[in-house]
Amino acid sequence: MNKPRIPRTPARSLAVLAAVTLGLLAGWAVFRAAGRGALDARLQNRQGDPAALQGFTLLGQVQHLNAGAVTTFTLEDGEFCSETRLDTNTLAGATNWDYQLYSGTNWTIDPADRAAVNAAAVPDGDTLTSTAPRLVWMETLFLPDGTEVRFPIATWSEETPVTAYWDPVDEEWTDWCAFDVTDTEAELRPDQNLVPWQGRYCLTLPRSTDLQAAGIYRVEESLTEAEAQARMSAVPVGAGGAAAAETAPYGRVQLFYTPENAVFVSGCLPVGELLAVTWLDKAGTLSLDLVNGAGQRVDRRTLTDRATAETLRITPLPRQRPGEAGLLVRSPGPQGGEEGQLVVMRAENGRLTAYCQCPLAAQDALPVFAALDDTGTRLLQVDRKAEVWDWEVRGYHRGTLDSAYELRVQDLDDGAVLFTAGLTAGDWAWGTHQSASLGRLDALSMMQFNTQVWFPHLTDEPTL
Amino acid sequence: MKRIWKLAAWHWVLVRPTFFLLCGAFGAQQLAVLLIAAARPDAIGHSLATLYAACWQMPLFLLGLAGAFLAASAVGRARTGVTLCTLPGPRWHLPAAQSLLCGLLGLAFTAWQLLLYGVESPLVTAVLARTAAGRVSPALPAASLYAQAAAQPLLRLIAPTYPLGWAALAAGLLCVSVQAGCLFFHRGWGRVVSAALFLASCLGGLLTVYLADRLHRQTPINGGEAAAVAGGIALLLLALPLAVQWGWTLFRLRRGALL
Repeated sequence: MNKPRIPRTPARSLAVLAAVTLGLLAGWAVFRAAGRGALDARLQNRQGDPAALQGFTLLGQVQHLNAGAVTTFTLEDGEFCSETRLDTNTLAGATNWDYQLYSGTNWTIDPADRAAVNAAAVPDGDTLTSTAPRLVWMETLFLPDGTEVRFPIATWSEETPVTAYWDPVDEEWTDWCAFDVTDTEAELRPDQNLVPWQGRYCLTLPRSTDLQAAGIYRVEESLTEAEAQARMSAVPVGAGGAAAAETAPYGRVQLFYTPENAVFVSGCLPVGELLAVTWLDKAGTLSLDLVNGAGQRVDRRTLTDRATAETLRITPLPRQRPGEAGLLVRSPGPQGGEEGQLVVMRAENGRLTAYCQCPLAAQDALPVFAALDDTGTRLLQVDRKAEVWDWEVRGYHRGTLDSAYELRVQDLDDGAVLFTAGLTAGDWAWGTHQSASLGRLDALSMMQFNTQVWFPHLTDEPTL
Repeated sequence: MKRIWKLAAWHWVLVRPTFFLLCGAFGAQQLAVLLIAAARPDAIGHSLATLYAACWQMPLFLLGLAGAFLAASAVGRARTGVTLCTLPGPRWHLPAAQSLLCGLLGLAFTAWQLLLYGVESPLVTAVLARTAAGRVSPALPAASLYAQAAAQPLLRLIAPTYPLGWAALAAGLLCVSVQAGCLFFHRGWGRVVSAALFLASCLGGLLTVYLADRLHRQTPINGGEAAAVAGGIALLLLALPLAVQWGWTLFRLRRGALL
């Protein structure tokens, strides 16, 4: 009689179940942790000598949304390394881009007209209406450190209806103000990027008004909310009400640099101890001025001579090396369409030590990162190219775009391309966005690609 | 401990057919659904990870998991129940053994899903490649097994790399298994109440694991207060039914009024 080799007692059976189960689960846990190198970023060398990567420094990150992982890759001393951390979402320097400016626009009356406006006030329930002969545009800036500044930008010399409201919450009247005064408000408003430089915030006013010239302004003094409230004294509104004055400026914003003949100032960019200011003149010439800490221009470069305020697009690139900055400039091309150029510059001890201006290699390859090497004679850039997939479902043809990243090193003296490589952000898992659903004709185009490549902005500016 | 193990093993032998039936049915439906879905022309651009979600396999897995925990209560009433309760020894060994069995069944079902996923990966990828062949140009890049598995939230949550995750999983497993184990010893309306407590624990377990993940990854949850409230609710859902269930079951067993 054949006896089974392992007697089948219930206890042993349960033990087998437990062993297999725990083995599988533990195996998966180990595989998940140990195999995370599959998500690392990789350089796929295409052409040239990898030794050309010497002297460059680069830090990038990839966020894998569904896998809950963040991959960091660095290039240092010619070595490309990558490392993945699981179960994390945090990216380095994710909030370090130039600060978004939050501001409030208010068309107020001129204080000298207050008596006349109050005399002509007509009450209507909770609202008072009147007419003001003149208006003043007061802009209130709310800075990232919680302080505020208010200063006048322009005046308006036509008779306009103004209103004042009763605020039941604060139990006081709001001051006289007007709305939708002019269509050009959006063009005259300060640029939304607030640039920290040399311990102050720099503000760009794009166009000249009757009160302020177009140019770069520095916020010299700002007040906390409590101090600002104290400056807004009570003023009479209408027949007997009182309101906190919206007409009183507070804090101090000072003109730092205005280029002569500027029709449009597009923005500024810190380059070490210098500030780069891009501006357009009437003829459409886009110039870049380098200004030192005293507001004096030390250098001027011409970028293109065919731009207008509407067709110009300037994108600052991530700043990773102290004293170095890059710009992507897109303007109308000679035969219509758009042409782009990459501008990278470096300043040391208040002097410009390296400057390069190169056209884009291809119009669909936009740089997302650019850097000069230690000597300033070679340029490395990472371009984002569009990869197109054509596909057909039930007779319908579609195309879908995806981003591929390409790294390129070129010599600035003769323009020779020394090295190119593809930068991949971990193994591809197509269509891994969880909201994909069957029954949609174009499932492919609905995919949101779940890896985001990011170059942090490592600024050396003092935190304000 | 040995006695508890033996008690659990006795019942395991009875539960085996039911449990294997559950696993087999689940596996068969998953394979069938995924392979059919992969063969449809709409599936271009999908991968195993997205097909799994699109075909409702995630909620089905959770249902199956609940079924695995409850499988031990579906059999053994007449054949082992009386025998178990007349065995000499401490009363608490009985629910403890049942809880151990239920816990192992839950883990086994999860491991079964893992195995299924590993088997499906090459099959579904091959079918998807065949569906897309000739219809997409250039050809779609191939995805590795790691990438497919890493992108799956279920598989990510069962293998955390941080202590908070392990604690959350352990707490959830403990509470749900004890609930399921104690369910066996009630009859009639008591079983209904017991089942309600079991469901509460399941919710608590899911919430705890989810919150632990969000907390660790520092994904903002709307306001710290909401997180604290949610965490509190999760722990309550875990701890309170557990205490109630355990005490109530022991009370009934000691009184001898069972089955």
